[in-house]
Order: sequence, then C-alpha cells, then structure tokens
Amino acid sequence: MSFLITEVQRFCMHDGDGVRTTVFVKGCSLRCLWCHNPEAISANNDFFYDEAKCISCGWCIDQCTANAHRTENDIHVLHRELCIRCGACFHGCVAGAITPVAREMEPEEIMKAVKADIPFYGETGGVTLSGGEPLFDTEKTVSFLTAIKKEGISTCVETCGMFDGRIIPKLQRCCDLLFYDIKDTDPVRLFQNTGGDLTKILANLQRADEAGIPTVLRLIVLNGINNNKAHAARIAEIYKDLKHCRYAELLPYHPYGDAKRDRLGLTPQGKQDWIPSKEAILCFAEMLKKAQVPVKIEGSML
Amino acid sequence: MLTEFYTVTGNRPVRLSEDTRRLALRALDAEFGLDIKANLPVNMEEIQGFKQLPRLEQYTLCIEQIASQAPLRILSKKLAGSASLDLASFHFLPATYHGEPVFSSLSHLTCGFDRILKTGYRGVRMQIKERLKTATEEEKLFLHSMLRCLDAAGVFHQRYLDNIKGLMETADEKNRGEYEELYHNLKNVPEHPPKSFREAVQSLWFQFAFVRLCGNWPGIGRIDSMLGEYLKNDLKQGVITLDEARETIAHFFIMGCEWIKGEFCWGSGDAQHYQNLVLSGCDSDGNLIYNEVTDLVLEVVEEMSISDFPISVRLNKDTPDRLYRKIADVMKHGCGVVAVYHEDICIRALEKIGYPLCDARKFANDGCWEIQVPGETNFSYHSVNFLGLFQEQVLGVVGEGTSKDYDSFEELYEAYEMAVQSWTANYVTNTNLDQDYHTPGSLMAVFTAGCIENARDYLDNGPHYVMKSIHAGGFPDVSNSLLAIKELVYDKKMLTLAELLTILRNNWEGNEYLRQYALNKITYFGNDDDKADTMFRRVYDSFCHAVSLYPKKGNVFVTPGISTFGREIEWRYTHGATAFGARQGDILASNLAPTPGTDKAGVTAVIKSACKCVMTKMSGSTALHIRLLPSSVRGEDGTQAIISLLRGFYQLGGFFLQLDVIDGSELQKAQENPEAYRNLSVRVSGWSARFITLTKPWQDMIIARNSQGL
Repeated sequence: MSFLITEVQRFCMHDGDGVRTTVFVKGCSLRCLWCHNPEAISANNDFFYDEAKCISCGWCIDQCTANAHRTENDIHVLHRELCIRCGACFHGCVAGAITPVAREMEPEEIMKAVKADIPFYGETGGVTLSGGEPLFDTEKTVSFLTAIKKEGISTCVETCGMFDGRIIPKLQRCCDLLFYDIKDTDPVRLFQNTGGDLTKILANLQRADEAGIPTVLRLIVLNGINNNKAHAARIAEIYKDLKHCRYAELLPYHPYGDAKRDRLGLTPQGKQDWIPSKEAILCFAEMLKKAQVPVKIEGSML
Repeated sequence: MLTEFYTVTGNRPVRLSEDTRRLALRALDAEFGLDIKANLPVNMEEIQGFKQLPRLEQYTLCIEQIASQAPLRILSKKLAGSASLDLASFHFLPATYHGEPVFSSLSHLTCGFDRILKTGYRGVRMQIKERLKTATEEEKLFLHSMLRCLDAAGVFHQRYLDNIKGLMETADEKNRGEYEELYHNLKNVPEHPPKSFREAVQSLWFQFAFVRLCGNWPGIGRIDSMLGEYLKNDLKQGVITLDEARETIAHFFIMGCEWIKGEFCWGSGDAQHYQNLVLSGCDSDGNLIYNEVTDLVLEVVEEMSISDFPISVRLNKDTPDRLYRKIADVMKHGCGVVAVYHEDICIRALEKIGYPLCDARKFANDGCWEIQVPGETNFSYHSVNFLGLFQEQVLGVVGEGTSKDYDSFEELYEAYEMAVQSWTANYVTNTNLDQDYHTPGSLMAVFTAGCIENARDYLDNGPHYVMKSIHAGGFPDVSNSLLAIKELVYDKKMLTLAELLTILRNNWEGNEYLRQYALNKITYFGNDDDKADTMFRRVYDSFCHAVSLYPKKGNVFVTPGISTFGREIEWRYTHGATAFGARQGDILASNLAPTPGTDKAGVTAVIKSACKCVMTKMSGSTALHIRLLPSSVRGEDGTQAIISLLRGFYQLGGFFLQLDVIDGSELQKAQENPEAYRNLSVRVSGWSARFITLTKPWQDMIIARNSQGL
C-alpha cells in the first residue's frame, strides 16, 4: 500500500504547530481553478518539463514509447499531446529537465523521511499530510497516521473536506489537528470554481468537531471571488458552531501554481486580479475578528 | 541621512530614547568614521634617534605619543573614550616614521578586561612591581615597558577628565549635569575597580577604547558575566532602572561603530574589527550566567541594526526558553548579528586537548568564532585549502604535475590521507612553535594573564596558552569530489580515472552529459544522506587525526579548525574543475557549509549532515552558516521555527551556528542600488558587515551562498 508522494518537505513552519515535515499526497477530490499545487490534482503520475535545463542529450527520445520526445533540428522538442504518461522518461534525465511529479513511496520510506527531523520537532512539531487530498484514500491514510502516532510524533492533516465522513471516528484517534479548507461558502460559486459540495464539506466539518478533533479553518482569499462580507459572515457562523476550532488562518491567493502548470504543459488559469492586497487581507481579517473569530495571518495571530 | 534601522521582517521594537536612536543612526550613517579620516597618526620623527632605539623602546614610545596626542572625542554623554586615529582601523599602530607605520597590531584575541575590571589598572601595576623584584635585567626592560603603557593609559585618561571638566564649565544647565555624571563615572576607572554599573561599563569601554586606539582589534569577551553583578547590585539599591541601563549599553554599541566609513573596504567590509561579544553559558564552576545584561544586549541589537559587535550566545542544557526567544527575536530582523555555540561541545573540545575544565569553561572567542580562554591566550591561525591540495597532489589535475592513477578507491583515499598528514607534518615542523616573536606588544601583555609571571611579551610565549590553529577549507568540496569519483569511476565504472581527470583538466568542456549526471544524480554532503555524510565524516576525521598526532607541547596547542572565512573568493581562481560538476572559477564551499547548489533537502538536513561529525574534535573551531528567506520566518510561527532550529542544532551536537535571514534577490538589489541599502548588514564569517561596504567579489560570494529557505 504505497503512496504517490509529490514531495516530502522538511522544515515547514506554516503547516501546523512548530516545525513540521509536510508530506504531499497526490490525487485530489477538488479541481480548484486557483489550485496552488496543480501537480497534485491527478491521482496518476506525470512529469515536469523545464525546457531551460534541457541539454538535448537524446536520452528521453530513446526511452519514449509514444514519440512525444523528439529531435527537431538537433534540439529536443516535447509534444505533450502525444504523451501517454507511460513513465519511461520520468526518472533518469541527468540534466533535471524532466522530473517526475511524484514518487511511489512505501510507508516505511515516508516514515524514515519523517523521523529524520525529530530533533527539530520539539514538543509541538511533527508531520502534516497535505496534497492533493490526503483523505482521498481514507483507509490508507488513517493506517499511516496511526503508525506515525505510534512513534510519538504529532500528526496534522490538511483537507478540503471532500472525503468519506465515515472515517472520522478512526481519524479522531490518529490525527491531532485538522487543517480544514473552506474555499468558499457560496454553494453555487464553490461548485463552479472547485467542483466541491458545500453541504458535504460542512457536514464533515461538523462531524469532525463532534468527534472532538481540533481544527483550524484555512481560508483562501481571492479578490473578486470570496473576499466579501457575506463570506466572512458565513465563516463566522460556521466557527460559532464549532467547539474544537482553534482559529481561522487566511491564505492569500498567489499565482505560483501557474508556474507549475506551465511545466506540466497545462495552460495557466489564474488571474492577477485574484491576488488580494495586504489591505484587503487585513480588512477581511478584521471582519472575522469583529465577529469573534480568532484570525491568523502571516504566521501570527491578529 | 538614515532615518530607520534596517530589518528584513516585521518591525523593530522601540525601547530606547529618541536621542540615543538618533545618535545610533548618525553612527551608522558613517558620520563619525568619516570624521576621523582627517586625523593623522602620531609622527615618530619627533623623537630624536627613534630609528636607532630597540624595538621594545620604540613600541613604548609610540604608545606614549598616541596617549598624549590622539584627538579626544566625546560623542556620547554616557561614555567617554574614543579610538580617534584612522590608521588604527587598518590594523596598524597609528604611529608613523617617514610616513610608514612603525608597527602592525594585534587581533584574534580577547583581552582580560574582566580581570582589570576587578583589580583596576592599579592591581596590575602592583603585580608588575612585585614581579620586578625577582626579574632579570632583560625581564625588567619588558616589565618597565608594561608599566609605561599603563602610565600612558593614565595620561589618556587624565586628558579626558580635563576635557570633560572644560565642557562642564561652558555647558548649559542640562548638559552640565550630564557632563558631571560622565566625569564622575570616569574619574576612578579603569585605574580602580568600579563601584557601580555605569562605572563598570565606562571602565570596560575605556580599556577597550585605548587598546583599540593603539590599533588592536580585540574581542570584548563575556560582557554579561563581567557586568551582570554590577547591574544587579545597582538595581537592588535602586540607583538605576532597567531602561537607564539599556541606554548605557546602547551607547556602548554606538561607540563601537565609530569606525564606520560607509565605503568599500579592502574586502571583508567595514564592521569587521573583531569586537565579538559572548553571552550566557556557564561560569568556571559550571553555573549558568544569564542576567539583566544578557537581555539588555540582545534588546539593544534587536532595536538597532548595529552589527559591529558580533554576538555569540553559549547554549547549554540550562539555557532558558526566554533566552532562546530573545535570540530568535534578534535573528528575525536579519543582519546576522547573533550566532550560537554549543557550549558543552566547545568545552569538551578544549578539555580533550589538555585544558583544565575550569579554564575551558571560561571560553570566549577571538574576534571570530575560534574559541579561546579570554585574556590568557595568544592565538594565531594558518589557512589552507584542502581542495587545492587534493587536486594538485592527489589527482594532479591542477598545476604542473601529471594526472595520477589509482587501481582502487581505497588507494586513492590513502594517497589523500597521506597528503593531509604530510602537509600537517610540514606545517608543524616549519612553524617554530616555541618562538614566534616579531612584534612587541607590551600594551596587550597588560591584558593577558601569564605575561607578568613569565615576564615575557604577548607574542613571546608570555600568555598562559598559545594556540596555533590550522584552519582548513574545502572539505565539503573534497568529500563531494571523492564521492563523485567513487561512483563514476570505481562503482559504476562509467569511465576510467584517467578519462575523468582529462575531462576535469578540460574544465568539463564537451562533456555536459556527464557533468549533469555528476551534478544531479549523485547526492552530496548537506542532504542528510548517510552515504554522502559518511564520506564527509571520513575526510573530517582524517584531518583531525593528522593534527592530533601533534599533542600539546608545554603551553602550545596545535588545533584543527574548519574555516574559509572568505578565502573561497581567492581559491575560486586557483581550483580546477571538480568531479562533482563544478567548473573552474565557481565559488565553492565556505567553512563547514555544503558546496553552493548541492544541498537540496533544506536547512534541517544541512544541520543534520554537519552534526554527524564528532564536533568535540574541533578544538580549533568551525562554523556552519545557514540562510533563511524572510518569508519563511515571518510571524510568530517563524520565531518558533528559529527556536526549533537552534534547539535541534543543540540536540544534534553542533559546534557554532550562524543563521542569517536574507533574500538573495534583495542583495542583488542592494548591489544595484547601494544608496538605498546603506544600513543592510549581512553575516560574512565570524563577523557581520554592511553589505555595500564589501567589494564586488565578496558581495558575489555572499549572494552565491546557499539559501535554505522555502
């Protein structure tokens, strides 16, 4: 029961308490327009291509089974549309022009990577599972989390809320903190922009809370989409109903996801207009604070 | 005119008075350093027959002339004393004969300011007079020279008192009060032991200022250990408040940047006068030193971006959370002012080579990161590039020789090990370990225990301890080269050694595929990869072993250290292409840090890799520097992250860690538009410097350094 992991990132300080090692699991249940980690959406592996690094050595052309890698005028050219994601070229490009998006990792291997930073976790740090959607494959994730807990390491899961809620009682035993994304609170807009089902997301949140799992609400802020009073007011209502929610954290939209889309051969779909100004973020935070929601921005409580 | 203190993240706190802040900004703006440029050194031609006099007599006369002629300068109304002769800031005694400096001066030492605080100059005089009773004629010459240096310090002191008195008479009421206090605080010190905190700070500053005026660049030492008790007493008596004490400390810092000239220096920047401070740690009995002064010093640098006193905090098992927090608070603003030692490792390293525990516990540094017993040590170092040695003698890919060949990797490694040992043997044999007496330094002997008892000069084996450190650089590069050669030639047999060495001689020209393979397909030192780190550790152990073959002889210690300071800049022009894919001219590893570009697993991996070595072997000290991006330490989360890094470093048994928070792109902007960044300091090596005062190659080196941010 291996995992497809896009990255094990050490020394993350904004993914939970203390220093954390964040494990990014591939495969997601949403399709957000503004996705920050577009490489983690699909559950299948793929590759990044960085043209600037290519030295046209011809290695990938020999590997390719679909004629997607070709030589044209002595220069390597990639025809992504022909690629069948067979994986033959994912590993092995010496120049690092082709790199696999993810790696198959056995739990033992992830565990080793996670344990490497124990000296830095202290009393608060630990592991954060992110993605993608780590609860996409609920049973597998829960059994891995249980193994981490057994090592005495704190566990944190970042979820978009679109998962099978029947796992929650089990999750309660192996997850110390849920970072719960609420991308939007307008059901139609949420569905159009992400494919998400607000009813299900909120129901799972409610269940997690009833099970006693501490949560942090993670709120992406996009100008022109959800940066408005109605959204803030709705968040405050949701917060009020939760017994174990610690605070809401604001994540301003950033366009870095599009740089990754480019290397995946996808067309960019972010908009510069979505980037909220510092003032806009502060204004949104103030609205929440006024409604008695504790807010964290830029790594500090407001 | 500067209007604010530089920071990379958040806001600096405001605790000091507006007057003090303004004075600091003026100092940082180079006002005072530019002022002293016009002050000429004393002219020894005035002394008849000067050139014919013995060297020691010449030295003493120089000190006397400086004391009686150096311009006086009162910048601060809280502290008197100033190193007002420009030549001193160039590491010379500011005395010339026919336009040429007569003596160079001393650095890489920390004076025994602590001892003189306690006994006053008076105590030293008495000790010298006692020793004179049993002295030989030659010894008498030296001891008399020391006494005359003390008298000169007294002349300098009296001139200040007279000057302040003059100011008192002409000043208006408000200023008169301040000058009276200044006069009062200076009157009895450093000749006598201080009676209050303010007198103690004045005594320390006045000792330091005179030593510095005479061209020497000593470290300050353990300032909280020296001053803490005085402040505690005064607080208890209610004669000072914490806010007032903070002002006094702040003035100490401001005075310490009176040499800033805000322009290019010859290389290492304009804040590199080795005025290091050490905070906290244990005392000789093993009890924790952590007092109000510890906090105040950190609060002062948190508020003002003064980097002229690099601070090192000694961490040990008793270090309280509050101190970790204070360190992180300063680190977050960038400028690389604070670094940390793992105290237990440092003490153990000194003990292992033969220092008594009570002395080892006293360690401070020499103005860089080399640990030494302050006020008791004559320290010197020799720099060597082991990548150069490896490439020239073991591989034969640079220089006149021809490429070497080895049947197995072990044979190659053995050749390297032999080269290291024969270099070390050569160094030890050719350095006269007992006698190294070129320059008189009787003024510095006043501040160094052992010189009076032995009636011998600072450089003449007078001090209790003589430490000769070999500072080797290039180990990460040697280790990575070995790793690449092992994999390419001996394990995977992708080509023969002869073929690889030809490729290296040709600077990888036409072999881009293999170069990319070496760069990207092999994991090197700094990634918490056991295979790579084991190789590094082997290289590290070979060096330490080679040096350990020469144990202490009398009071002379030869110690292994790993440092490049900034020499990787010179070395870039001499090293050849490396097997791990670097080309000629690339800037390679600095100190203990991984080769730029080879660490890909983040900052915790770098720390872990380095800490796999047994650091107690580093009696000559080493430094690991890491750099974080401002965005990764923002907010309270960021503060906690820095604390976690420090704690991890301690837990893993590191030696010395300097952490800088800066964005490489910000440094590039500073290069393009220096005027807007006059205030930006960066950690260079054992010191910080204002970035724009570094020359271009040094700036490039700082930019090239690895950034382990996210």
